[in-house]
Amino acid sequence: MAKLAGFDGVEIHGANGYIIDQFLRDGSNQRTDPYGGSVENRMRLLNEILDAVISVWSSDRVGVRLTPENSFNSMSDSQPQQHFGYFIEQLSTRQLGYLHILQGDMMTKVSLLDYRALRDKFSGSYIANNGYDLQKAQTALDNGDASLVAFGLPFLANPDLVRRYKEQLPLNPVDFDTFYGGNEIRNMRISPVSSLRAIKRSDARKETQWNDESFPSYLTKLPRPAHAPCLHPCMQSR
Amino acid sequence: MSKKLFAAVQLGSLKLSNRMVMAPMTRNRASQQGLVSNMMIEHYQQRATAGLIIAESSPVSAQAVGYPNTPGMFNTEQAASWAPLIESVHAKGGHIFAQLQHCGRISHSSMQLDNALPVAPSAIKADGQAVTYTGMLDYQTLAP
Ligand SMILES: Cc1cc2nc3c(=O)[nH]c(=O)nc-3n(C[C@H](O)[C@H](O)[C@H](O)COP(=O)(O)O)c2cc1C
Ligand SMILES: Cc1cc2nc3c(=O)[nH]c(=O)nc-3n(C[C@H](O)[C@H](O)[C@H](O)COP(=O)(O)O)c2cc1C
Repeated sequence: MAKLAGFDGVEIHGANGYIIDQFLRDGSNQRTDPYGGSVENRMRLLNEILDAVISVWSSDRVGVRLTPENSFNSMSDSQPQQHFGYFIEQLSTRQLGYLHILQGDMMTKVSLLDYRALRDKFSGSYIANNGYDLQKAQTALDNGDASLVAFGLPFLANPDLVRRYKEQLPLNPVDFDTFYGGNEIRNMRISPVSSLRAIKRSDARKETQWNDESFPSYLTKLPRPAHAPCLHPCMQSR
Repeated sequence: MSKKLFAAVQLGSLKLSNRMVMAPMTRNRASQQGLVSNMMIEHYQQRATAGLIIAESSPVSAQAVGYPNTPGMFNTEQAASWAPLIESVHAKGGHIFAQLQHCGRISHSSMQLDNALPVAPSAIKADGQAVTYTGMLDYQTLAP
């Protein structure tokens, strides 16, 4: 379906406590069949998914995202450095487009693993993520700790983040109340510096009406995730 | 400061205009049928100057759904609804990957076909509550 839609590639979501991660980490996988127990077995589902996906996509258009120590969604593993070291060594043999790692734990901001050691087990492009700002990203690239850097909240609040970093312009604050859902005109106010007026009133109104019909109103009242975003460097700088 | 972040880079057969990737972020702005909304198109095309965008996670089957209003990747209507979004990113010189998602235990029977329990490797439930169309509901102990 992703190919039909016209995507340039796909990222397999092996992160954040969803089903692949539930198999990979031993805190959530206590199976005694070929999909549980050893690291080989816990990785079986991901390997089968990759086999299937690579039969449709060229392997260089396939990325994998992992979270060795993120505790989001009640996740844990007894030996993340060793276990993820194994998973990453295996992934390294597949000529994937990239490996994308959310480093550390978003919930606690604790990061106990040696990510450089994990990165060095992967022969292809490595995307580092979690809490990066301009300075940290440049340093990671200069040191060879990463080939690319992914930004979440900074891009959420700053559509033109590339320009802002390039020209060292100030960043917008993150608006936690508009993370999820869309029946708030406020979403439309998060605008690039260059095109603050480009989103016309009429468009905003159109979007709002569309949203009012289509989105359950409680979505905007979702409890804000109680974790890290507030500790993000792009917030600390203000 | 070095300028490496803004230097073009080859990612497999793709040439990206810089090394800044937009991380996948779920925004719950699709329709209940998992169709991409106009607001999503606006959101992604505004951010197309990223070297690579990884789109918000998208369930690969009805069983994979775990959150309300997430865009789907399991039928042709959904694929068709993504097409204009992808085109608008490409038109601005950007590249975009889909994030293929199966929520497993992070779901709720009310989000599943025929009210089935969500699936997971083992019958160990997550702490906390699922986000459903009828509000926040406790995670359930599941069928492995
Ligand atoms: C740190 C973080 C990571 C997330 N990761 C995912 C993810 O991998 N897949 C997904 O579908 N949604 C993800 N989301 C979206 C949330 O899981 C969910 O929509 C949101 O947290 C609402 O539920 P809550 O208020 O109970 O946290 C993430 C959100 C946050 C803050
Ligand atoms: C609103 C929100 C939604 C998210 N949704 C997803 C998701 O769908 N899939 C995923 O893998 N991660 C998701 N995440 C996690 C982000 O991709 C990223 O890892 C996290 O924000 C940390 O990066 P940052 O410090 O640059 O923001 C989400 C985060 C936020 C804040």
